[in-house]
Amino acid sequence: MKHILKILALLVVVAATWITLLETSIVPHHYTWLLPVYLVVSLGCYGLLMVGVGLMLFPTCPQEAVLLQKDIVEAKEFLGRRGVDVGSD
Amino acid sequence: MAKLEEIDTDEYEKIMAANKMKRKKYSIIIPTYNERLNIALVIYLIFKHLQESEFEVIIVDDGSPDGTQDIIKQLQDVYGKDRILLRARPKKLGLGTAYVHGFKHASGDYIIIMDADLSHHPKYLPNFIRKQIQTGASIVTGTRYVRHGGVHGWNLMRKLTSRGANVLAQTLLWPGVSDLTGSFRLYERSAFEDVISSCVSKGYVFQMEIIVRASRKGYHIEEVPITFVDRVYGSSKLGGSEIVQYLKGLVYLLFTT
Repeated sequence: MKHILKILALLVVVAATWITLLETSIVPHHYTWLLPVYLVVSLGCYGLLMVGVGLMLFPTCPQEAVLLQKDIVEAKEFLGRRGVDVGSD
Repeated sequence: MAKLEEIDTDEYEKIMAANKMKRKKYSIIIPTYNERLNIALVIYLIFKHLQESEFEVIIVDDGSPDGTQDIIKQLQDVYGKDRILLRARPKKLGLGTAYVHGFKHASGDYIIIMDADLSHHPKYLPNFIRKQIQTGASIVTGTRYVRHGGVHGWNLMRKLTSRGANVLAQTLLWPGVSDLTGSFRLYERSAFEDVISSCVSKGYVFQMEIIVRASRKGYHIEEVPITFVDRVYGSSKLGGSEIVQYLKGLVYLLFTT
């Protein structure tokens, strides 16, 4: 099944729940009308939170740059001795 | 530094011995364009870190004007024409077709794809291989965004764009992998052939398409942490058109996978 259909199915379920809540009076009407807004805002906040947290915890590896430089020197030395042209481009 | 899998030496040696007996061969496909120096360094590091496995390197060069192919021929003199295969093309014809072209000449049981610019370090190749053997996965993909992985050389803006793009893709696509645009991956031969035949995108959306389609088809996908040192970021741009292209790619994948 295409992914978009899964998402649409999910939206249909959410919409059906919302309409049910409107029709029956489990939850006060003035509150029910605003539920979709709350949902969208919550999703937005969650998204921003994920981005923010992810940014704060973004894994970095400065030591890898140092190691890479060492590897480059080692490689140039080895290859240079064996006749490979390792001059800069 | 990325941590190696916690596995004791005895078990590791048993696995590597078993691997040798089965003679599993790995074909490493590297597309190149103007990577005269980097390709030599990458080849050296591959041969340094993959001494336990049987492999070949297939370099698909798109007619580099800087003499990359001359360097590759020199490398063939050092390492052997049977280990380094140069399968060039006349001009830049795109990444997806480069992989397909390389695959046609691949004799391995497993296909590894990686970049030539040293952003992908060959020292992780044993980790990919080991993970595949341990889990029997069809695809092992490198991820920069987990613990023991990482990126160096990105400023705050670049990290923000990357993180935002990732959150959006995760929310929309539920892809099952943490790094969608990565191109450091190992595939079982049959899985590679199957997935690549159904992918039509260009550029890095192509990398996303491969892994999302593989996920949809139910392939067993595992991840290994990799570190990504970006030395070229200063010269490459991540502008508005790239972002638009990415969003278009997401919508395309949303509707067609």
